[in-house]
Amino acid sequence: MDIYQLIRSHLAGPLRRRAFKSPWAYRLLKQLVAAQKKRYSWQAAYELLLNTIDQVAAAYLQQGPVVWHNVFFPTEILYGLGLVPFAPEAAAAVAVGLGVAEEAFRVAEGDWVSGESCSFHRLAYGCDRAGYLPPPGAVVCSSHLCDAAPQSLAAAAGYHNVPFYLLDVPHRQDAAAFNYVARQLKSITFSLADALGVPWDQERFQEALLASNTAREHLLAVNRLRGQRPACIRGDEAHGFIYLMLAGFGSGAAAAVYRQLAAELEQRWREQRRAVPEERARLLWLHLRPYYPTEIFNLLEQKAGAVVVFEEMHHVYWEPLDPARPFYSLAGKVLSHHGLGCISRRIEAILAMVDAYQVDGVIHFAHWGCRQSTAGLRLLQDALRDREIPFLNLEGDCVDKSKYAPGATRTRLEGFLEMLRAV
Amino acid sequence: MTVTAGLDLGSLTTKAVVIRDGAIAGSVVMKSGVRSEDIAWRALKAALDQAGIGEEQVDGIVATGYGRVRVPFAHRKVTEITCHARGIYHLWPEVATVIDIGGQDSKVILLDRGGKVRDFVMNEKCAAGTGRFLEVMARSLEVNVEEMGELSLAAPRGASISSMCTVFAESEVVSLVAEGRPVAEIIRGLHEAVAQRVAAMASRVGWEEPVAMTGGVAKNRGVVKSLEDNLGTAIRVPPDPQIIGALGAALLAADSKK
Repeated sequence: MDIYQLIRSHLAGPLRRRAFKSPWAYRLLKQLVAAQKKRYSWQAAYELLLNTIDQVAAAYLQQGPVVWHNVFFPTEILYGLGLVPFAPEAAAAVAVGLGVAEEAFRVAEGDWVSGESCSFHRLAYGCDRAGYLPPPGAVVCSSHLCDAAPQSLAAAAGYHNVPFYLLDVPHRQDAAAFNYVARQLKSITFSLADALGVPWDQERFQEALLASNTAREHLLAVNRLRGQRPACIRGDEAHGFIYLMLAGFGSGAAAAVYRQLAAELEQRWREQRRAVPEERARLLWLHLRPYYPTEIFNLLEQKAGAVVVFEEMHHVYWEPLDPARPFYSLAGKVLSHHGLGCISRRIEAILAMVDAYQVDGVIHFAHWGCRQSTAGLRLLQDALRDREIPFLNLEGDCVDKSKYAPGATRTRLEGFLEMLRAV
Repeated sequence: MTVTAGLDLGSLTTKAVVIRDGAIAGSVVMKSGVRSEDIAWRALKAALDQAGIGEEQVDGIVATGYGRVRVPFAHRKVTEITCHARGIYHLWPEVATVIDIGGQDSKVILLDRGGKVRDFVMNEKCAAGTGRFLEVMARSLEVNVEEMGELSLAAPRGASISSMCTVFAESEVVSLVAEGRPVAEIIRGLHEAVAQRVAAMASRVGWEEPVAMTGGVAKNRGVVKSLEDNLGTAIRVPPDPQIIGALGAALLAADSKK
């Protein structure tokens, strides 16, 4: 029984909303998780779950000022200020697992939130209006990559009557852009501190940047190990750690989880403990994946031996941060994302991943509403074709299971595997 | 003597092909219904009877189509993508692009010089541009789906059909009938709409000549003509385009015996 089933079986209806705000729920949850400790095939996943429960508890129990952020805002700032970060988009993915999604989508639809907008944000909206999310003391948002986030989070700040701070990120990587972003980051940082009444603590702020650097080093170690043959972790398992990329940098817990994951990978590789009994193909997964149950990864990895050896979301695209120049180096982190600016930057990064992870085929999951990741697909397909790397685009939805068509998806995946001669 | 069979369980029809030493010995097309296993077995038996071959003489069976997962007596399951490619490669090894329009979906498949699938694309999860779409429209127009091809070829122009959603297109068709547009022109408009959609898919995947068309809709001469006009190339249609997937499946079964 996975954690979501545990929670669903213990909570029903109105109890859910009340449970989120009860300290007892989190204690019970941690005990339930601890009782299942031996059943986690990855100790790192177990530690990640415990840490996530702590973080969720801190947000719902208001153990510090809660700040909502979109998944591309640099969270080092929030940890550095001693705030409690909360990512509504990540909460939307969790809501699917908890069985809350259908209700939340109905709420959003009832409020006339357009079905054409990103379902992550529709779902987060519905969860919020239904009372499932912890109220924010402030909302911060970066404008880069996710088109829907600035509009969605600005509206949320309005509903909660709290300050909204936008980080405006230009689609360039020149000195003017660095200075522009750095100035905004500094301004947002001190505005947050003022608005939320938290003291500025230089040492704590620098610790967040150092923790981020440590996490980065351990993640690079994980990624290097994943480039080895045979793969020792399935993409299905690795995907669960993406949460840290989106909401964990700057916390000591992220560094600890990545350190543990690297150690476990190293051990399995030394023991030649394969991710799948017979590795027939190595795949690169682009963008995200469905968070409701599907056959996709089972069909690829366990049935066909086509291992997702890497996910685009785990790509380390930035240089170490400089605690002596925190805002400038954080600006560098923001601006160096491979999806920002000209499509050729993303293509170059993807081709580098193809090489680094010895990839045989690439699958792009085109999530409904993520226009920035789907608009340049033709150029990406052409670049991969030049390298004779087969490419499959799967159109779908990460959180709205009503848009999932199992038969059509299966035929696409199996047709792709037949192209790779992996079956 | 090597005998193999291919079964293609599509949404509208189930096809069976038996080949003996590389040549088609028997083939059958039946309505699919909802009991995949039963219809698959009956189709196979009918094709074997036609070929005068006993079931114990069959060396291999490959199933394809959406119903392939429910054929327990098949030795292998392979997607329609690989099977249509293999079937056309058998008929015309030089073909570079296969366009398959079946009852429920459309596919454009690129082949390399050796007949392997190089790339493919499928329509998204709705009936737009498929055989189901044409069936629904035929009912609205009170014509047989089999006569739509000839009717449209007689029309001097096609009525404009802007929507490819089957439900919305049907209401457009009803409006056009109410306006008094000739049925033949409406049908040609529907064919042109299908052709535009399929041509866009072909472009997405980077189609090349020569082009062949398979699936039940390839029997509709009007759709083929509209697609040829849209792509600007001749399209080859096998004498029995519906069975190409099953033929490819049977050939794949034979290939694995070599």
